[in-house]
Amino acid sequence: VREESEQSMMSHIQTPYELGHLLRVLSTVNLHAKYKTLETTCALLSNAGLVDLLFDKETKTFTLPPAETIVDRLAEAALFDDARTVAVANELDVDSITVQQAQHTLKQFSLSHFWSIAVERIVSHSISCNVSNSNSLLGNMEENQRAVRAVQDLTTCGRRFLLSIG
Amino acid sequence: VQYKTSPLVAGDFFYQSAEDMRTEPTSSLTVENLAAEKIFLLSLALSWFNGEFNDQIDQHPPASGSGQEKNEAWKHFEVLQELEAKMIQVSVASHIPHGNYSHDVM
Repeated sequence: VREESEQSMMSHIQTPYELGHLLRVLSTVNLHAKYKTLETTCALLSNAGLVDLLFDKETKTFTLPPAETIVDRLAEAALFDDARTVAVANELDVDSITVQQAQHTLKQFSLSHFWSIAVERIVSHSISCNVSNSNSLLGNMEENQRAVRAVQDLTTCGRRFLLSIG
Repeated sequence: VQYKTSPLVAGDFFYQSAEDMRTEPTSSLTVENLAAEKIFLLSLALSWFNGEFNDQIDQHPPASGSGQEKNEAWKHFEVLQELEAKMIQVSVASHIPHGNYSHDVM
């Protein structure tokens, strides 16, 4: 019954202000941990100007999208700390957000540098790291050839990957 | 070159890697070690920029006691320090060597 009445209240919400207020009340009376999470998410989206994400475009009423969608939108807006906060609250992977952040940051920095030259230096360094990491180089000739080919393939793909960032 | 990877990095990043592999007919790589290499390269590239901005700071340090605000290089350097720390966590969680441009592999 309690859940039904909570759902009923939520379904009547039509503005971010009403939503924020109701979530504060529900969170304060500690009805369920999910409201605290939702309050945090709502506050983050409001600050990011993305609170519309919580409202159905047709009915204009509150509709909670999957947490993955919220995380993706925050990451797209380059709000990586906020994306991580929502991900942690919803037990989602945060490492992929950090990887996105690294790509985003590198793209920004690459604009002010000779990126193609930098890529060659980085790739060269990675080759020496990969070779020194490869235990196979201590094996027989066939294993060595396979390891060398793997490093060559990594270099090709790695160079292409880094160039695609800039 | 074999890396051990955890499911932590098995997201879109892997599928993007698989797409790369399809365009690389001679590739001997697995999806896992290609994805791991990308994470390694990202760390390495961050480390390279870290060194670049560090050099700029050394060449043009803010005058001490002048109240001069931190320059762009300083701000970038701080951003990178924080991000590199997070990338180390990613590398550790995924059992991937962390790329460090100036000090080889951690």
